[in-house]
Order: sequence, then structure tokens, then C-alpha cells
Amino acid sequence: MKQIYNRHRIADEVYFTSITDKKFKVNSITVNFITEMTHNAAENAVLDRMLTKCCEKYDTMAKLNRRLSELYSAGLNYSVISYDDYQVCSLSANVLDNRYALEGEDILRETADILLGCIFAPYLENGAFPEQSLDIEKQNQIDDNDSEINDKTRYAHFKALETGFTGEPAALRWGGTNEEVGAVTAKTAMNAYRRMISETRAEIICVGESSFDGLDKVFADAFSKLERRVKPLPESKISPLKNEVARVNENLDIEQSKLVMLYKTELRKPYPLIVMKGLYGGTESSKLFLNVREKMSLCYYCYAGLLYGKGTVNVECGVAPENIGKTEKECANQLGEIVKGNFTDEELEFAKLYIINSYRSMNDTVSGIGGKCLTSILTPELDVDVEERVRGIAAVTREEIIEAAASLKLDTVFTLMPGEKEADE
Amino acid sequence: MKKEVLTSSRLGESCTRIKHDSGLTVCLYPMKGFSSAFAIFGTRYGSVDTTFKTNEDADLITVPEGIAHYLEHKLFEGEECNAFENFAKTGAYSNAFTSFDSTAYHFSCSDRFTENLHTLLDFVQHPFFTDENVQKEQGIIAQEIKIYLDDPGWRVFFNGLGAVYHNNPVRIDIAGTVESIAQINKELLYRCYKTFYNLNNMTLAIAGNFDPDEALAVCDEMLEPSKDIGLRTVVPDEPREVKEKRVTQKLYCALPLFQLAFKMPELTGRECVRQYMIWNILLDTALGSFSPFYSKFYDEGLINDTFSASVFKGRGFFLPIVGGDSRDPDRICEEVKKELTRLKKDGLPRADFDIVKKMTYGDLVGGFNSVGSVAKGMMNADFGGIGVFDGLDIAAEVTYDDVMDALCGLDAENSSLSVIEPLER
Repeated sequence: MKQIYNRHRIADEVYFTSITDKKFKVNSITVNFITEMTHNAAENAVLDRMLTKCCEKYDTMAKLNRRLSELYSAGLNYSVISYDDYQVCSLSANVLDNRYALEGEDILRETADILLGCIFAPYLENGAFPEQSLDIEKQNQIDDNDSEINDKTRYAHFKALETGFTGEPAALRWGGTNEEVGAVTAKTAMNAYRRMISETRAEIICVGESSFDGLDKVFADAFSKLERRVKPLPESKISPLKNEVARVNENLDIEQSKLVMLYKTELRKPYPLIVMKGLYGGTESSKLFLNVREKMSLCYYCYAGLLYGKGTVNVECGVAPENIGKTEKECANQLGEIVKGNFTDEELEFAKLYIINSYRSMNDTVSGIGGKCLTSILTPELDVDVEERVRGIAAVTREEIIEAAASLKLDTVFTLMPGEKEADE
Repeated sequence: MKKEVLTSSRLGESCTRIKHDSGLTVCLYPMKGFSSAFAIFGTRYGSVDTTFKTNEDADLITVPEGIAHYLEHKLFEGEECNAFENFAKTGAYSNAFTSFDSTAYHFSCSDRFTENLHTLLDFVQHPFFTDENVQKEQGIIAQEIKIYLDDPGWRVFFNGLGAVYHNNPVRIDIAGTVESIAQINKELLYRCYKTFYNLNNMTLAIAGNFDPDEALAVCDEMLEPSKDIGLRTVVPDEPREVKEKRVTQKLYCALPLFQLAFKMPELTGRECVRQYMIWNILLDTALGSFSPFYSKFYDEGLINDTFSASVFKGRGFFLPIVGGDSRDPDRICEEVKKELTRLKKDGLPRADFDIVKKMTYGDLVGGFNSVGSVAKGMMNADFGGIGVFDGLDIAAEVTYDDVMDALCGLDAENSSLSVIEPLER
């Protein structure tokens, strides 16, 4: 079955994409508001939460959730992420396909209407968001920020990025700081709302069994009622290499240490970097997995990631405290092996096959397709068509891998170690 | 070979369940339009299976905790190469997991399916343990155990199980303890492997893009017939009452985490699934996102989006659990108990019960939307003694009176509260 992909502009800096694939039993509609990461991040994050709690038509959380439940457990969700130098605030609705509605109801259209209502007709009191709800969502955002510590792997990752991208938008927290969240008022939340719907680039992505006929017009009508004044989204910049490697250690009363190393590159070739990352530490046949984890048993997890838009490769390990130095050295050594060309054609082929398999598998989930579309919009060098991406991966040469590995320079090393809480920079 | 076609009129789909001559149950669910296939090969062997007996044993045997998980780690390592390397040759993604009552190995691929199935059936049936490779794994598993010692979400759960159960091994961490894994050697691994990896105790489930005839041909070629050894596992006798009413620990986290678990007797087969549906419908009606309870305490800031109520079930345990983050875990748990007691007297709102039934239907249909969830669903259903579509029918048959009967039988005081309190940062 073929996927039908269609993206078109429906208003000033508003784009509507629909991907129809008859194999799915559910449909998803996501409205992504994309803005440069700034100190407004906290207002946007709190607002995103507020908008999924109620709306003019369903003016309490209970009424809204009740109606969504009646629609066979339709979901209405918010998400706030940082992507390169951007903050992406998303509101999404997921619902079963109409053919599974037991009484023939048009559950897709009604769920879409609820999503539209939440975005364009929020529940207000005297023209402002109710103070009590705002206070609850501010507190929830602060709790979410603080809960980063619950997952030490994630905590170490973000702490490393904070150091690695110092002074850049990408160093800011996706949900703002607690102080910024605390300072949000009914007035600033309303300003953030106006900014979001009138001044922010929007990408609406619909995926599922439905053809989503007419939904573009419904969204176009809603946006046409606003006076849109959108500044073009600034280009995300790659992160410059520091003059000397930044080393930061933090101590916490924990059992296992974490090591995060950030390498920077100025190379702007996505596919060679993706394959090199796979060969180095992105698969179960990679150098880091097979050597550092399996052969040397230095750590429980050890992998490499790529933040292409920031020109950064992150290496992350969970390691016994006494092995931290040895692990850092060995991770660097494995990269050096690639630079020297010490990898077989077979290893290269395996990395490519793994990536190709994961690209093709993306087409088998609604969230995979939605994520792929958004990524290719934010990183235009990455094709939206999976087979185009597959061709890009397949064409990468040994020389390009060596070039990509050689372009990496160590920029930041963050360690989380057991001990009395203290930060040492 | 005994073949049976399972059909769902609700979904308009069917799959095949086969009792292969080798003793293995094979479930096949081709899914039109999908690019990838997902295969999972599992055994009814989890962390709770520490005491057992076969026809060949005179007495019950008790082994140290953590062997099922240790085996999972070691099976990937063959005499000639690591199974990961074989999967890597085709680009397949492979992994494994151990739960309380099962262990499973799986792969997903968009190409060369039969080759990968060959690899899966080969490595799971051919263990290769040496003193050296068993010893080497101890360090890696100890690191894995330590990761979870720092994880508040994991600890609140296991501390809670430890408070509910006196003797049931579900109270012990799936990976065992650093001390118990130190007792594991090559001989114990082989002993447990031969007992639990008997094909009569196992299921292979495949969903997605594959040819069933080709899959069966690989099964015919690769499966080595197993004699039924009359395996019997024993769950130690468990007193009716919980072991402790309240347990607490301090860890780094933003807000206190809590888990309130209501002790109930174990259930098996179809009745276990029926009670699972009944209790989930009960908890969603009483405490779910549109209940008066949820709104009241969300608005008071006592619960947030992390609040959930669901049933934790498996071979030898059945436990309705309410949990999440809260500033005042003791108060919210008292309120939960009060609300359930009130509803026993006043009755659950009938209209809300009807809505939750629709929700349940929507959630269950949504579970058939990806190759991975379908394959895992088939294996779990088979382990539970039902067919993959039976859950839909069982849920549809649940009546209001069933739910009220369950609620009236609840002894809300026979429960344990586990709390993780934030460590000063």
C-alpha cells in the first residue's frame, strides 16, 4: 500500500501535511508551533499545558476528558521539546479510525474539532487564562523541570548539552528555568498565546488511515481569522568548537557514574555523519557496543548520538566510577580507529543496513511517520521520502566515513560521579 | 502439527495459531501494507520462577534470584559469534527482555526475514556458556542492577512489591541482587536453560510483512523437538495480609513518588484476564481522568499528569496499583481508599461505566496498530492461556454488576503504601 504524502501552505507560515496510509487503525493530527529557543520558553511551555486541559466548549478538564473518552479513548496531548536552536510546542489528537466506531460516528472530525477548539477558542475568564489553572500548570512545569533528576542518564545528557552549547539558544531548557516559569502571569500567558497563534510558524501534520479531506480548509479558516505577522524562522546554527575542552564534574549520592562526551564538527554532510555515528556507536554491531561494552565490559550502556543541526556527536556511557577514565580513553580510541580507516567493509555495510532498516520501519507507525516529517522540515538536508534517505545512506563511501570521523573534535566532557553533592567546573 | 485460525469480527482480521510438532506454539499474523516484520520467541520463565520441579527431579529445586535475566544476557553469545552480529548482517534490530514471568528475544526487519528468523531460532536453542564468559557478564549485570538502584520510579515499585509480599519472589528485582548473581555459574545456567527453554514451554509469535509458509519452513528446519518434561513451578505460600503497610526511601527526585497496592489472591487463565479487564474498568471509572476524584485533587495540586491506576498482573500475582507523584502521598492514598469505600456504598456512576467501556474498546483496538504490539500481544495472550483477540470479547462482556462485585470484595485496608521522598540536593 502506498502512502500518499501532501504538504502545502494554508496561511502565512502555516503548512498542512497529510500522509494517508490505509494500514493504520488510528489517525493522528499534530499542530507544531516552532519558534527560536529564547527566554520565552517557559511561557510557551506553560501555555501548551493549559491548552490541553479545557476549552471554551468543554470548560473543565473533567468535561473535556469525558468527551474524549466517549470518542473511544481519543487522546489530546501536549509536548514541548528543544530541537537544535528551536523550541517545538505541539498539541496533538489521536483517535481510532471511523471504521471502528461502533455506532457509525465521525469520531475523527469531532476529535479534530476539539483540537481546534483548544487552540483557537481556549477557556478564558475576563479575557485571560484563569489564575487558579495557571498556578497549577506553572507548578506542574516546575515539577517537570525538577524531575529531570529522576532519570540520571537524561540528567547527565542535558547537563552536558548545557555546557557544550553555552551561550547558544540550544543551551536553554525546553521548559525554561523555574524562575522563568514562576514569573509567568495571566498577562504574559495571554501574550504568549497571541504570539503562538499569530506570530509563530506552524506545521500541521496528519497521519493515518483517513484522507483528511477538508481538514486543511478547516485549519486555513481558523488561521485566516487571525492577523498573522510571522518573522521567518532563523536558521539553526552549528555549535562552535571551544578553544579548550570543557570538563565538568558533578557529584551526587548515586550508585553508577555517567559519562557524556560531546564532539563537534563543521562538516555539513548528513548521510556520512549518520553512517559514521552508526558505525561508531549507533548500533549493536558498532565499535562502542562491541568493544567498550561487550569485549572490555567497561560499561552497561555505551552509545553515540548525532545532533546534526548542532554539528555535534554525543557519546554516552553508564559506568562504574573506577572505570570512568579508562572508558573515556577507550571511546576516544575507538573513534581514532575509524579515523585510521580500521574498519572493514562488512562493518560499514552492517551500519548502513541497520540505518536503512530503521528508516523503513519508521513507515510502520503513525508516530514514526509524523516524526520523520517534522525532522525533514526542520532539517531540510534530510529527505522526507524514506527511499530517498535509503539512497543517501547507501551512497556513503569509506572515504566519507573517515572524513566525517576525522572532522570530530572533542569539545565537552561531563561526568556524574558518586559523592557529596557538588558541582566542579 | 495442529493449526487453528483465530478470527476477530470486530477487527475483521485473523491469525493462525499452530502447535508445531516440536512442541512449540507458533502464532502468525501477516499484516498487509506494513514494511517490517516483528518476531518474538519467548519462554514462560521469569524472575519469579526460582522454585520448580520436572518429571526428572525427585524434589523441588530452588535457585538464586536473577537466573532468568542472566540467561537472557548470555544467550546472545554463541560459540562462534554473538547473535547481535548475525542480526547486524541484515540490518535487523534485535533485543530481549526478562519480566517477572517470561523471557523473550525479538527482532524486527524490513528485509531478509527468513535469514533473521533462522538466527533467532538458532541462538535461542544453542546456549554456549563457559566459566569465563559467565564470569565476565557479572560485571555488566551488576552495573545494570546499580542503574535501577538510583531510579526512583523503579525503587518505588519494587519497594512496594516488597511491602505487599512476604514470600512471593515477585518482591525481588528482576535482575536479582549483586549478591545473588555472584552465586550464578555455568552449571546453574545450563540447568535452568534445559528446564525452561523446553519448546513445550515456549511460544514464537510473528506479525507484519512476512510469508507464513516461509516462516513455517524455517521452523520445520530449525526447531529441535522437545519432550514434555512436566515442568511445574511453585509460588511459595503467601499470607492474605500485606507484609508492611508503609515503606519509604530517600532518593534524588523532584516530588515524592508513591504507589498504593491492594493485595489480592493470584488468578490464572481466562479468569485472570477477565478480572484484569474488570479492575481496569473499575479504576478508570472511579479514579480516571474524567472522574470527580481526579478533577478535585488535580485542582488542589495534590496529583498531576503522572497519576495512574492500573492492574499489575502475571503468573502468581494480581495487584491493582494506584501511583504517581504527589506533594502529600499519605493524604492522597487515604483519599483513594475513602473514595473506593464511598463508591462501594453509593455505586459507581453507570453512565461513567459505559464511557469507560468505550475507552477500553478503543485502547484494545489501538493495540493492533503496530507489528511489535501485535506480536507481543500474541505471545502474552498465549502465555495467559487465551487467544490474541479474546481480550476484546472479554472486555465487551464485562457488566456493571461485575465491576460492582469486584469493588464490594475489596479490602482497601489490606494495602501497602510505598513512598520515595526527595533527597536534599
